[in-house]
Amino acid sequence: MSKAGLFINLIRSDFKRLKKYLPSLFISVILILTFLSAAGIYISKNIYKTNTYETVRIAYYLDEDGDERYINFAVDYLSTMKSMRETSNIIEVNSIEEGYDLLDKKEVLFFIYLPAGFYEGIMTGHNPVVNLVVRDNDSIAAYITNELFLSLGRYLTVAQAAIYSAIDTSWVHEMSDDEVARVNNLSNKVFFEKVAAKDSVINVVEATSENNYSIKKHYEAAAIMLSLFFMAFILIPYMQSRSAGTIHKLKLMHIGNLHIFISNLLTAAVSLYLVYIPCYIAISFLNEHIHIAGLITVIPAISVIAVIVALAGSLSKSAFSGNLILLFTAITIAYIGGAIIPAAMLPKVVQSLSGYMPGRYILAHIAYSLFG
Amino acid sequence: MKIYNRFIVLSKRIFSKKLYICMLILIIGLTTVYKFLPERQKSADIKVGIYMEDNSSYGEAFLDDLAEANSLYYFYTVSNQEKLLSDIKSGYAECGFYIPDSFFEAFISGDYNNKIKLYVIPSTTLANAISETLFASVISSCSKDILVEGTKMYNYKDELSDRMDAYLEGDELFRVISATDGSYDYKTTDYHIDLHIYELILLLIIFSGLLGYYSYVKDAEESIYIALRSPDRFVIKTLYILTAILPVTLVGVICAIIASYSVSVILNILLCAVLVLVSTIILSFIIKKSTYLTKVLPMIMLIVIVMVFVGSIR
Amino acid sequence: MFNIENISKAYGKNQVLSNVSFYANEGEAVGILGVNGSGKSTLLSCIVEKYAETNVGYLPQSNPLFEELKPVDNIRMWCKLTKAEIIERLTTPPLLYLGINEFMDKPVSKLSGGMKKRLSLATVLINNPSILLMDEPFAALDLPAKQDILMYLQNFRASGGTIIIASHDEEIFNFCNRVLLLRNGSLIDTNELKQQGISYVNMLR
Repeated sequence: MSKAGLFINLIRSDFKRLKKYLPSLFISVILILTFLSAAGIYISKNIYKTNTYETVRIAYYLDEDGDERYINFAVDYLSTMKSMRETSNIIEVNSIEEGYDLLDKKEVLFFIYLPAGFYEGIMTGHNPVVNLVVRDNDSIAAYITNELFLSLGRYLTVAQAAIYSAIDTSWVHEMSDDEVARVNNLSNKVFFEKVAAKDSVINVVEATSENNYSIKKHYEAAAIMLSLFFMAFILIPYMQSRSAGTIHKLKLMHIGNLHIFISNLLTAAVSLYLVYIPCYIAISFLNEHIHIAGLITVIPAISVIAVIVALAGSLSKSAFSGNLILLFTAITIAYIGGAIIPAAMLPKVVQSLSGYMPGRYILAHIAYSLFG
Repeated sequence: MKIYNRFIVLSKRIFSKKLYICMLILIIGLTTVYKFLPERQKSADIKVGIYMEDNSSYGEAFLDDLAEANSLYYFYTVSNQEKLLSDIKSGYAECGFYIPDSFFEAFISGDYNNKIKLYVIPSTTLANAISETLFASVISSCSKDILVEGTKMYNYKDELSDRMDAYLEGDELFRVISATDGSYDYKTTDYHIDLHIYELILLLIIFSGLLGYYSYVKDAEESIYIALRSPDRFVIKTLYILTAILPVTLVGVICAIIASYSVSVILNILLCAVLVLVSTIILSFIIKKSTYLTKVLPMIMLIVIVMVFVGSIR
Repeated sequence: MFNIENISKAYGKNQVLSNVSFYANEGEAVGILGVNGSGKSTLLSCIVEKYAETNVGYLPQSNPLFEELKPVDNIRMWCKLTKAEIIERLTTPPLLYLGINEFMDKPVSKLSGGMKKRLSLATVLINNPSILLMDEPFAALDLPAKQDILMYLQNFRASGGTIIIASHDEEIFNFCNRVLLLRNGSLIDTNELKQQGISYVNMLR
């Protein structure tokens, strides 16, 4: 019998043997994928530890006289500003004494009291003094709130400069009263509108999704990648289950380790692809999106995984050692490739290594095949 | 005496396994690296990245204004978007801003479709507060043109600019003076890069217990203990597991002391060793054949590795 | 006649076989006797490699079978025939006498040692070799199984086949026409020693 014929017979026999292992493969991939997905979901929710900046309570007192409607308008507006909601909790007090009392009791961090005629004073350039009292000026919370007041105050300062400049210019050029009033209104309005346009002009974007997949999708792809690797726990015993007599006879007929490796590789690649299909369907169903071309584009990634599994199965002396080698190799490849911890969070040394290791590319291919 | 002899022989056997020696070398090696690694300093300051595509005069004025504002936050510029995203995703920067080309011109004219992107990650909590500081500089740097455009006083553009500069430099305007005392003194902390030596020791104790049991099963399948009574076989099985666990535990405890772990960590390591001994013995009543163990053992290790990793994230 | 000439093999500095030569006639069974580690298996392996072009069938000591597969699939591994052709051959003489059709639907893992050996023999004989090389064919077999194999080998020899068997089982040597002793890398014809009344056991000492 020719060497080529015997090699084809070997491949055919290996595929026939593989049929018995397919049910175990499918059951195992479901179990491992479920387990790894649960771990991935947990990690994705906890990988970024939330910074603990406490929100501060700010008390304010408005001296009753005339222009409280403008101040109340301003306070209402401030309360709705995202920056204030993010860092502060504003409450009104009924007297200056009450404000100081709350400071002493440490129930508020800041106390502001606005004097009577504050709004009119701003508009006429008398700039009444606003008292801004802080209980503790050493904490980061105090500085964050202070920074906010400085920024908000700058809006007012710049707007005031602009309004005065406009009015001065219109007077100098002897514009009519109507013209001056128009300029005054317009300059008021334009700065208020520009400040109010902040949320329209700044778009908040999740960095982990930009130019990439969201953290959830990242871990879905990573779970599939690792599940495929861990199919080796069944494939390696399968590869090692050829009898010593078979291997001895094959070698006498010049079917050596390379041929056995190729047969192992082919069976590994086909079985991994078959096992990938239900994973692909499940993820597509969960994400309500199907990327048909992904069934083709995933082939290179599966081939690389199959090569690694086949190498472990062909070169190891026993199924036990092969499984262990594969376990630690897969975890190392996954770690360096950014599958376990997102690449940006890895140490710089590891990040520079990841370009030379297959993990990153396998993960990218699988993610692309799943999500497009 | 028989038990002692068997203990000695089995200990010699476990040390003949290259895999076992590699495990011990790994723990010792990692501890050595950890001990000799210099301490690093980490600053608690709040960094904010900016990638600026708008290279107009407004853009330059904006960056100058931001620098002069002497803010609590440390704003720095990057040369490309990938670096910005990488800094944010790694946690180096609290958040980041991407200012697109011709942003300021569009903003002044009232076109808000050309937006600034504020990049955040789940742990970002000060994005909006930081954006106020940034936006104040945006307003400030193009305030003159905002005024001209808003009032349509195009003929008096230079005059308006000069007046605004004069007012801003003078004392007539309302200003908020800082309520806090000087600039915030950001604390730096000294830390060691965590090499997860403790987690590795726990993992290797669990693994060595399983390895010891696997060795027993392989030997038992060769029928070398077939002549012994059941209690004796149980003792031998326990000795296999114990002789595998003990050296790793001992080395682990010594390394934990060298790495200056606390007493509670060391006690955890000892407790883990006891638990592994007991659980492996229980496992031995369930899985008795090496063919099943070959398949199950890597799965057990995988579950343990994932749980240890998830635990360390917490 | 099957002439084997100048077989030499060394493992490192250990010269296992030194210019071993012998012959085997058609319809003759030649036994290779030797202690453990004398190089019997090595000799057979070298013969298979050197005379691969000759119609030689080789049965190693360890059964060359896939435990998960059924007998026909195992036989198919070692030949070019289709499944139907294999079944036809197994159900007609001479392979019929191996009795494979008794357990054709069982996977190999469920077969006894004797059945496995018969199946292993079938994987070799399916290709109609004229020369059969066997390495310890009776290892771990019970008496009935040995008898089955011997009977088949007798038929094979009677039909003109040449058999070369490496073993240290006395029953095989009673079957063989000639027995050669492998010692220190060389072959000695045991005929003369037998005539002097020396038993096979004593020849090995």
